[in-house]
Amino acid sequence: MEDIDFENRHKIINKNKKVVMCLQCGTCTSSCLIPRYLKDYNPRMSFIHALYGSRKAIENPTLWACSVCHTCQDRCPEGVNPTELLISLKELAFAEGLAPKTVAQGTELVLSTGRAYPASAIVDSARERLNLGKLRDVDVKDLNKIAEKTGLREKLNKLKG
Amino acid sequence: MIPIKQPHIEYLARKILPQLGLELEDLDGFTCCPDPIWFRSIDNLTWMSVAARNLCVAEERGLDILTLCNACAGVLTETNALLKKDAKTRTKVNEILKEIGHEFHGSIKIRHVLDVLDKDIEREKIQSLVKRELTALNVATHTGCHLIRPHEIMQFDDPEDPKVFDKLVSILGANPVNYTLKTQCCGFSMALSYLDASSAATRDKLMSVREADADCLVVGCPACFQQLDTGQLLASRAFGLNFKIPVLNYLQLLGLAMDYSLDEVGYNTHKIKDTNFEKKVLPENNTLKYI
Repeated sequence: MEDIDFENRHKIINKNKKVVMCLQCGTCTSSCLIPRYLKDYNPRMSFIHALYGSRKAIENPTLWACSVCHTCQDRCPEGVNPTELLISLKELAFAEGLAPKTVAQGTELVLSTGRAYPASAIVDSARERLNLGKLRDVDVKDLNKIAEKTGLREKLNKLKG
Repeated sequence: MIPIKQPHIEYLARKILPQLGLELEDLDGFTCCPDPIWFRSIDNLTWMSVAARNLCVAEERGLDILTLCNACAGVLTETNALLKKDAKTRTKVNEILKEIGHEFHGSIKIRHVLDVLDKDIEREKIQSLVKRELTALNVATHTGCHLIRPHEIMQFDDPEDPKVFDKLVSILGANPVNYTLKTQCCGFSMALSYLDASSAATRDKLMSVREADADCLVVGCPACFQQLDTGQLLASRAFGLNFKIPVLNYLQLLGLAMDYSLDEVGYNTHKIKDTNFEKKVLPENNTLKYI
């Protein structure tokens, strides 16, 4: 059995105080789609790793396969909310540069265009054929002010190096 | 996603919904929700603040929000509910919003189009638009995750045994079918890093649809559509299976029942097409332009 890394454990548990209530019943994991297709993805084990303050809690790249479908949250008999734990593990992983590159790229796209997908001349002509008019410009000043205030901008810049 | 990737759904919404008495207004200043999977997971506070800003834009105009997307419905409804319930987070988010001239009050509702069609529009009103009942069509419905969970907040349908979407399909004369993996996620989120796993999940879902003898699969979300249509092609290739299960947004099915052509509902943009399905939804004398 590995030793508990209390510093890391506090970092994770401070955000999700209910983690300590986990009964290890496995309802989250048996309810989840992902472990059927990715053997390294296991919400129940994420709780163990979090409780031990293990680096494995955030270093598991399959965390990013979660669709945030909330099935584990709805079914957890202890009301622990595994969805929230998994989100905060990813938050910690992202800050350390452990997220897939596309995640940061997608976020930059939202912050620079206000949209989740890139516009193009092809999109414009498809819209024109349907008489929908061009995509409207989105003012992204507010989004960038939010990202600065919350510290997301700093995190993104750090990742860019 | 819809205005860029599936503009024909926007077209159908703008054309059909006013005929049901819904008045649509565009909101200037609205941005991406943002997405409930990745953006939410990298920075929860930013995610919630951007969503709250969008809610404010609608609040300031005194308008409820209508969405054509499960993810938008989920993000905005969840943020609205969380901020209304949790005073501490609300204060924190409002401090951020103050600098850009907004304040969250929680005064509006967020509604997915399927929810509005189910709860606000009388069955007879929808039926009055139907010119051609789709009685020959067996339809598998896929409600999708973010519209239905967390159940306490979304309140759209029973997540363990969803029925609302089936009811909406039967209004058009079509026959909803039961299938084993009805509540299984489309697999979209896995496609980011694990395409094989994502294809396998989509494969299993489609096998289940095929076993139920469905002529098509109907969704209410552009991401589910992309995964089950484009993803169907990828799953077919990856596993050597010849899937031919057309995927339609509910608004497309409604359009077909209103006697719109397959081209008008945007079927020509789909990756997966099937002549058996086309024969069942087309009147005898109609021909397809894309062939």
